[in-house]
Amino acid sequence: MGKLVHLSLVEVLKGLRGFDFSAQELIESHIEQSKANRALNAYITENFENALEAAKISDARLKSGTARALEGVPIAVKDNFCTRSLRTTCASKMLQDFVPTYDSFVITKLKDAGAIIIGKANMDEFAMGSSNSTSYFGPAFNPWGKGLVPGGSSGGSAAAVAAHMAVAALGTDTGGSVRQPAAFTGTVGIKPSYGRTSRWGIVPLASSLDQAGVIARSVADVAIVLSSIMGFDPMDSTSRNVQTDYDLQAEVQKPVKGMRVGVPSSLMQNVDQDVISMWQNSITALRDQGVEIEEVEIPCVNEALAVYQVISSSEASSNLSRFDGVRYGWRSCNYSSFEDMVCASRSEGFGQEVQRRILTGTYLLSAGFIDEYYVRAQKIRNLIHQGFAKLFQNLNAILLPTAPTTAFSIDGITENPVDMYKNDVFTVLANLGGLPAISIPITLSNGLPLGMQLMSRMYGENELLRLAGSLERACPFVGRDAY
Amino acid sequence: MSILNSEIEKLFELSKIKLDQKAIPEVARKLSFVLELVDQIRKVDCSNVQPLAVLVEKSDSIREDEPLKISSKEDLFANLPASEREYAIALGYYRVPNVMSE
Repeated sequence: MGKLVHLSLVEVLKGLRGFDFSAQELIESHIEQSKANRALNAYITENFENALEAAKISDARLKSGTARALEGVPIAVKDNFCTRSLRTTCASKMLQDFVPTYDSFVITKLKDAGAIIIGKANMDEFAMGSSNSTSYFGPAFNPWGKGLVPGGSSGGSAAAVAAHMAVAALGTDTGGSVRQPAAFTGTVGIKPSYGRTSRWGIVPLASSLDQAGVIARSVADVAIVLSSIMGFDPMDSTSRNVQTDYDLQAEVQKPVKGMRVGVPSSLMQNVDQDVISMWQNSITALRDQGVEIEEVEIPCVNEALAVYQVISSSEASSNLSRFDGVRYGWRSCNYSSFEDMVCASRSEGFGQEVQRRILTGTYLLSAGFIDEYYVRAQKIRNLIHQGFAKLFQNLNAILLPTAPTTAFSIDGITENPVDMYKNDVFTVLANLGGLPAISIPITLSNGLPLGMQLMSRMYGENELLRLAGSLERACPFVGRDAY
Repeated sequence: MSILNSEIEKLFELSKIKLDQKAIPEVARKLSFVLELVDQIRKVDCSNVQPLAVLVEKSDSIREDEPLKISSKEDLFANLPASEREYAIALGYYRVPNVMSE
């Protein structure tokens, strides 16, 4: 057996149950790996001591035959999930000292499954970004190359998994924040259907789009973690009590012959040649396994990014109004009145991109504009939603790239914020439609990973994982075991 | 799409963010980039379409409108600045500067 940090989750679970190694040894090896990779800045808060304590409990349960689904598995958690007694900063000065008194629902499920939080992962401030460059705690970096961004906003989660600092990680995905960093780091990232995982206890960005997701190093691994964290939560009014009679991990191995996948060719303009080649090779790989490929048109696809920006900025500005310096979060020391205290606290506590999105959202929601922008965007969202419903009457999934490029240099970030937003052009569709979607690493372009994306019908995680498993087997990806 | 300086000032006021007058040109420029993007939605004809606010058609978790005891006072005030915490726990409310000005 090689280094413990190189094992997949499937192998880890088998090894722990077979007593090939202990949970303590597993955690120790991941702590060592995390310390060796501190230059990546993947964790805002390390949780090593608590993780070692938790490993003792896991080892006891393994020995007594009462091990749970994720017993002893070191998992990184994006720093926007509330974790009881463990600092939750959202990568913002606003919450730099915020210590939740409760666990978010997803974290409760993760802990109940026996998983061990090894660190709170770096991210773009309040999940606003696609490069993890807006974190108050400094940027996270991509283990694939010096100075490269890991993508965002769940950049620290992806970097930690890619660099083998954790077996898997939790992220959140509002417009691609799990899938794009997965693509940039050669990992697998899944965003489930809206309503599949509870949003309760996750610091919100845009409530009608946000969903918790998983990053790991294989399709089977994300399926296992997702199975443990999804499920109905009465504390989230958008959580759905959808019965599932399938085993997600088993779906990954099932044949795909006769399944139907749509390909939106018209979207492939102005995309890197290597991205187009990957897409074409993926189509061939699926076809070779008996999948029927069909040309599709996604309605309002050219306006989707704009629709997403209107909805996400508007909802973010509304959500972030809760930060007033009164009940929690940064409170300025310099103020002369109540109004002044609120303004000073927000000005000092929020970074530039967060302020810009609040201003944008406030503009779009202001009197005279709300019908023209937010309500109009919701109408187009309905057209997109209806369009997907129609497409999925005859399709099992839609295949498209995850991101238009490979990971870029942090020095290459321009002053035009829209250039950054364009990273999400392929991923926002699933959020607008509430669809489950997954990014799978397929190949390298100039030595950097490229990811392919599959989207399926709402609550169709089983079909999604079946096709993703098939694509993964057809296009085996060589990871960076050097880390 | 350009945005007027007076609109920028109003936006900062509505957003409860302090305005640095020197920053106005840069804020205006960057906001214009974003507004240029979002203006694309004006091209779509959606005159007979209903807005989609929530993807979940009906909630599975509407409970009776009854009070629940979820957090203790200590929990609610746990993230106040240290100087305020004890005061808030003792009195049971948050202390803020005068809300009404003279």
